[in-house]
Amino acid sequence: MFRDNYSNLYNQIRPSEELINTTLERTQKIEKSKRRVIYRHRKLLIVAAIICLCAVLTVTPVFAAANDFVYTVMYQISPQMAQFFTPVQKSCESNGVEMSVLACYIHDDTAEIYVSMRDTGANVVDEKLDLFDSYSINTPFDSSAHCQRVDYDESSRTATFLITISQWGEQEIVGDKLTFTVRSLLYGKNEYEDYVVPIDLSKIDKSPKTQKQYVQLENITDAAMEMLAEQDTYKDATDFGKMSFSGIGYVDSCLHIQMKYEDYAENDNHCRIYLHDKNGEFPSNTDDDLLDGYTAHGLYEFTDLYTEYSVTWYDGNVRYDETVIEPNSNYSFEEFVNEISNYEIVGDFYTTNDAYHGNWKITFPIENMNTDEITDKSEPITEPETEPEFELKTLDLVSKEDYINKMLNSIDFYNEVSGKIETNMNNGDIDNIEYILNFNDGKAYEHEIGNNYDNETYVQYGLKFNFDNINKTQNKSIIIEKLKSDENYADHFNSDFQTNYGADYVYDKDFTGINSSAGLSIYPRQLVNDLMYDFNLWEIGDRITYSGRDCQIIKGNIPSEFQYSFGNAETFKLIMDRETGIMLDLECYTPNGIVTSYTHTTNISFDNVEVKDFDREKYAQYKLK
Amino acid sequence: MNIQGTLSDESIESIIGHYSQMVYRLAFARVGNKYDADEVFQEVFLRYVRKNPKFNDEEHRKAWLIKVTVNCSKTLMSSMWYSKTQELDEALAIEDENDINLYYELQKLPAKYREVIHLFYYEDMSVEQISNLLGRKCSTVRTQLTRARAMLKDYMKEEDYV
Repeated sequence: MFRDNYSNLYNQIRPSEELINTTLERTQKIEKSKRRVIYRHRKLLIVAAIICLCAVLTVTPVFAAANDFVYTVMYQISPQMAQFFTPVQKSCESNGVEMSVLACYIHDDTAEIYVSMRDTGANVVDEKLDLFDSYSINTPFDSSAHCQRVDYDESSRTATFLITISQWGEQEIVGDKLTFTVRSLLYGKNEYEDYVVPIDLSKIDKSPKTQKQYVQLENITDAAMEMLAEQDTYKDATDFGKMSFSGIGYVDSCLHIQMKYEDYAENDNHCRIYLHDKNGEFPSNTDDDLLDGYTAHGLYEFTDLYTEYSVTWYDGNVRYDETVIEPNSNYSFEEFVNEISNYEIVGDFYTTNDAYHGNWKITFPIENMNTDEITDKSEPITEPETEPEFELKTLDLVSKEDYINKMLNSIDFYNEVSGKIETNMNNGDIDNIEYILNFNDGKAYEHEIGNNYDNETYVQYGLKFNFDNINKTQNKSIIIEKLKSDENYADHFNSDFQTNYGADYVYDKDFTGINSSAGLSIYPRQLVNDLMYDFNLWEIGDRITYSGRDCQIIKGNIPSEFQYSFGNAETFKLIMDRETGIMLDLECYTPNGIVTSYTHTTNISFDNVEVKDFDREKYAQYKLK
Repeated sequence: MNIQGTLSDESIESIIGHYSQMVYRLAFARVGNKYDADEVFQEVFLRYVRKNPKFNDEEHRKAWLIKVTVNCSKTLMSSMWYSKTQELDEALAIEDENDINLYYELQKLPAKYREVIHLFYYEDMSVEQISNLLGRKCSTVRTQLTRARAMLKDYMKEEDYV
């Protein structure tokens, strides 16, 4: 029976112990912090009240920024509470808005940060200001965050937020500094609830113009369906700026309602629409589990008349949502049309202005405080420990085994590198690759340009983002979170090399995820496996300087079984960086001396390497692959 | 259970212990992969502690958890970051070919159909119970079940149509 088969399948599906334990810990932390936050907010209210009282009873001093004033009072009146938070009071200004990090409290895997945004000329800070989920701290781990606006001061046009960021996987926030970044602000929020849309459903076109559209239907991507072609008929039915009705009609006996969202990634326009009859009957909406930030409209069936589903597609910076209302089988099309003509569309519409962008970034020192203790400020404060860079290994190059080991384990000999290479070894075409890696930060970047190929990859915070600049598509994937800093980062593999050679050679795995194109140079393991496993076929050559680096030439014959991989070349010359084992240059030759495969390094540096930040705005209009 | 009809121990540990499999399996049924099911699972219980809802009885709590699981799955699937890749995770250790085939057939259904299939065939809920829980009319639920069955016709026998 199907029921048995289904049960058999799902009995095997269960949450892992790790997931359960992680979830339990996170929930228990929230329970704990809720009790503390209530305490702190009560205190904050008391402090605020005292501030007001002081202002009334005394000659009002020159009013410094609200944040400075409040924080100073916190220390004067409630030092015990203030001990939870470390004063920061650093500011930066961008595009007419000043951001200040007021205070910070780090406990285990959670950072609580009071931040204010003050309008210095942009005219965007208002009482509903929103950080548009554009805030972040520099953390190598996946994290979840919550932002709460706790105050707005009209006189200084300053909005204050409490941001709580928790790293996943029990990863404590460590280090001697923290960088808090905000990229965008959302302002000008308006709400129009229970809004009756002035569209007469008795006059809906039964033969509208349609288009075949590839849509996203819940989990099914790129389903080709017949959708409404955009109409102008209803675009002025509502006045919600960049959110509008772009089509209503009957297609294949179903009622279609299409909405258009222009510049969808730049604002938070969204709505929830319903049908209700002329008696005003519509579904109760007391379910408080309905989600904030609901970005697709939903229709809630409240009669036995129909079922519905929604589809979405994108056209550049425009998103279309189309709801398809399908009559139940016991209704003929005419009966369905007659019923619908008695209904009207009602909705809750939420609009904002387009996001206001800036580059607000503050780096400040942090201290890790125990959640269960109140630090006694009378004790001497020790300097926070600086996170050491990962200890680099050293290996003198004496024997051929030393060369093998160094090239196999190049990852052990540097913590950061940036460079550019030109190669034809990926797919036969000439590729130019720029790469930047920083294991300390757990970040990497790679840009590969080839024949009809332009791909950028970012690795940040346990995620790998890939952007196809030709087709304007994007993809995200999870990478293994371990970094070099982790206890067991050295994940030793038995490679083909070991199988071939039978020796106890191992190599460490790169966890940044950038191991594709630039990897053939900076992790030359495959080359070692293909070219150097037979010690009889290669020799150590001259020591030279190449691209400013102290290098060694290695040359030899390519094993016959791998010659095809190098364009049927038979010999090779490789230039290895002596300090790190990185392959800086390689040429493979036919017997006539023709170079069939090559990789040349045009630039390399191991100092002051900074990985580009991921710029969400640049790729906002890229379609998800 | 105490005399009010709820668990005697309402600590989050007890709640997770009692409902983890139900929540996870429903999340998996809807999103179709382990990674997203893990996310939904965490989010459901995080919402539970944040909102701290009060329940009349255990059925009420169960219904709340089911509804939130469905809603969280919806949010995830409408997120621009939702991964559309639906490979059967090796970590799930499902080896039987019939089970694997059934899994892939289920993934062809719209998520809404999968959730009613799961609630009907796995959680043994009636059409009326599903209808009340998800806020859909009975006829809607029946229609969704009917269509799902039609799409799964190769796996359905006469006795499966109730």
